[in-house]
Amino acid sequence: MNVAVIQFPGSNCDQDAVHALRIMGHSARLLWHKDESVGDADAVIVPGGFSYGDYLRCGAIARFSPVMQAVKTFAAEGGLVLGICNGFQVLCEAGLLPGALVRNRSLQFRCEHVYLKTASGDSPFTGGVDAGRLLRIPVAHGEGCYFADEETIAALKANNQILWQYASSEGELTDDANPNGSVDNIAGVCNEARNVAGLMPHPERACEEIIGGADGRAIFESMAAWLTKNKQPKAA
Amino acid sequence: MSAGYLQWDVKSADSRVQFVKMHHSARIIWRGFSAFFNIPAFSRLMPGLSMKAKITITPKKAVLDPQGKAVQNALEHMGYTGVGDVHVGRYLEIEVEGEREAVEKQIDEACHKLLSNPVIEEYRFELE
Repeated sequence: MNVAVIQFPGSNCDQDAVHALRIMGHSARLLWHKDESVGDADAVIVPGGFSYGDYLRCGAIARFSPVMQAVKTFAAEGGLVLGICNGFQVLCEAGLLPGALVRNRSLQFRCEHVYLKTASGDSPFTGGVDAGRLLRIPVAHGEGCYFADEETIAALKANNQILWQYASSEGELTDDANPNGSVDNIAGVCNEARNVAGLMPHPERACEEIIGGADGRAIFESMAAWLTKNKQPKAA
Repeated sequence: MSAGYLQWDVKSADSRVQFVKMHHSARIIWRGFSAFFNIPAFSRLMPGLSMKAKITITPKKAVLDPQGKAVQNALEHMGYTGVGDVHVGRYLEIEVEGEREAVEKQIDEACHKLLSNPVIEEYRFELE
């Protein structure tokens, strides 16, 4: 697949995402925050970091950048958009995903590996993950506590929009396994149309055994498989 | 007196337009003048020109506020008694020019769209 990775001032996982995608055999390029089009990309990744210094609120300023207007159009046309960490915060601020991410319950920046349970396999981002398989992926954030009001949470559940949840190594959704205090151990969600998703953990940091694991590949492989199956050939 | 008033009213439609125009140019000149001399205090003499929006943003009750909790614990630890829930928010001051009503609308919109996140925060503001 051909992926555009957005680069905001303050992004710091953009190169990691490009690297991870390339070693997996995909084509990936950086997309500057002032660009007004996502070009011929099959998918867009909004990477982690501290876009615009995270001033005001995480992701609050980034949502107004020209490239985000292009991402909104791309998403509205059904394009795949994945927000990772700060990217997840940006997508929530932009209204492309429901809810918001607030300060961790512990007030600490949490930098550790977590286990992710795939709560719904029915999405382009999780379709390739075997049911019951836990993904061991690192988190690194200070504001990753997912919040949405009760009504929104009920709607997310009813529509199977919760894609990933923090779990113990046995796959239990315990409080101990929740690194930030997220409602219902939510680590990532998708929109109603299921083509936009965001998660706090960093799959792009878990794509090579040499750096401690390659479980993150499952998410990118799901996207690629979904695109191969569903992508309409572009008119010549 | 009323005749005189009426007379003025009927006769001077033109002069009223003139007055509005003059008033408008006086404002523009005033704006340039006060900006040039950088004396914001002067603007207070001219109502509806320059004001300060004081905005307070706080987390919604339902949202986990670990910062507030930590501050509350610290206050109790220091020996302050009777300390209840603490909420940590954000305070902004924005200097802004314009008609009061329009400014109020603008600030409200900015609070909703950018300065606060309605999913997790509440805001209130006053204009001075």
